Amino acid sequence: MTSLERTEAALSLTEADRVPLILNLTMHGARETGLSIREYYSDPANVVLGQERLRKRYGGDIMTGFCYGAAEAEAFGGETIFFDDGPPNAGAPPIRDIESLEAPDPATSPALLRMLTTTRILADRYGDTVPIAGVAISPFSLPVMQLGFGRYLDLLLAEDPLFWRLMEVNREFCITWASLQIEAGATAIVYFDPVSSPTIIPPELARKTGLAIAKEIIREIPGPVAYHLASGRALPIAKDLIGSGAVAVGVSALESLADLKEAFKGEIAIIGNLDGVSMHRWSMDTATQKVREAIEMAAPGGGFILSDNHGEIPWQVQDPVIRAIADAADLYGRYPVP
Amino acid sequence: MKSGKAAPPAVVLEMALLSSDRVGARKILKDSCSMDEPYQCISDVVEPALRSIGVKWADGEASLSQVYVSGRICEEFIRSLPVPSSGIRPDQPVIGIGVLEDYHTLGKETVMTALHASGYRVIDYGAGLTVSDLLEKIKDDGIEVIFISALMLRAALKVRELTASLKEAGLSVRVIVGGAPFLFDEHLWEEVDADAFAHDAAEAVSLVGGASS
Repeated sequence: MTSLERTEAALSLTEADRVPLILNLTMHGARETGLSIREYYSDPANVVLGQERLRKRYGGDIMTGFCYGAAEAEAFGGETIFFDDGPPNAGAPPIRDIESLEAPDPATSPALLRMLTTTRILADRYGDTVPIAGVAISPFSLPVMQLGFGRYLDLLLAEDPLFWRLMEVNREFCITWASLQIEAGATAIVYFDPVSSPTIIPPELARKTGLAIAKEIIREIPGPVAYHLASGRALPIAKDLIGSGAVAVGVSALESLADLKEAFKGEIAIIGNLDGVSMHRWSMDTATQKVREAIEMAAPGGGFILSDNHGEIPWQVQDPVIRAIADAADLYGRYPVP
Repeated sequence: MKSGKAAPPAVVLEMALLSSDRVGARKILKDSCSMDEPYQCISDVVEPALRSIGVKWADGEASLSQVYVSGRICEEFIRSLPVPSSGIRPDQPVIGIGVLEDYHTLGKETVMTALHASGYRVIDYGAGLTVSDLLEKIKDDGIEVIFISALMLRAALKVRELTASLKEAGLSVRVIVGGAPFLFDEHLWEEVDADAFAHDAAEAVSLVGGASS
């Protein structure tokens, strides 16, 4: 089976030859190519090469043109802070005036354009056999970078009309950005929406805001969508996630994979939930054990993709642990799993 | 209630706070607090309510926005009391707070609000701090307790540089950390040689002068 067939089988809630593995390695491509993280992300050719080398080294069933989340805030005038040993981070929130805000064209933002180019090259070269993941931050979660978390929560909780004005702008931006990635050859879009998680806001508020917005957006994105809560909890909103139109959900290490499997079984696939934070300290044996446990709990019957729980493996996670995860996934993930 | 016994004010307050019922919470605080003894009110009503909400958040039974709003409501009430919020705690240590490396300030704001709601004065060093920035500020202000919030693993690991620098400089500063990386990896605070880790804002308050997490 190709990686594409394997992943499609999981998303169709059936068992493939083995459990698909998504290693969300973004910055590690810089390590592979011997470049600084900033330099690595400055040229699509670097990212393509990094993705190729990472896949060759570890296997893994997905490739991506995604570089860093702050790129979307850049399109709104934000700055990105680069580090030598961690993900680029959004600088000070760029938006002051929501009333006169207009959705920027993602295709004119240099950082997003580089991701599109990378996606196009990866899709041309590998799209027939490997899923190429696109990434879009939800209109509801992007304001954390656009306004700052505190200011955004104040706006949201005050039921300020400007909140809905911002959602209108972000909605247009998100749909355009996701559609451009699909046009460039992305197989699916990972829709990151941590603010809708019960970890951040109560489910009843999420249902009136973020989850309702997601349902509309997912309908308009011209390709399959995976709903990712970026480490946030999912169980209290499981039914809403199932009804969102997404084909899969990225789940948290804070919740039991057995409970998650039960909640989403026969409905949508689950992606997760190896803890990326403690992963930097795992031994190879721990990595093997964690993979084995995850597979035992969530793989039977299909509908499971093994991955980390946040959507990005930290820079601090070193080669032996990543290799141990990949090896264990191959060893224990073959269907039928015990 | 079948017994007819009224629930303790802290419990009633907690329910109002979780519902973001600003008016109701304020009334409960007014009714159960003596203006002459604001600290008694903080320790008997405000702190237990906020602490319980914090525990609920850590257990997945409340959301971060509820923690944030609860702190804000209590802080507003404390500020309305006829004593300066900086003067309620007579023997408080010199406390600082800041965010290392990034601009995600919600955790810092929530802890700062809880500290204010408990009558502590706090020096806010803002966000986007480097280790050397923070070290200088700690030295300049004679900080005795520093709260550090971090969102990314990279920033959390930088705390180790700070704790090493503090030791090297011979400064006795209590370092209390919080934020997502520490929540996901409960041994991370020990790895970076912090003195304590707060799961939530209310726990942070309880750690000002006390035991490690």
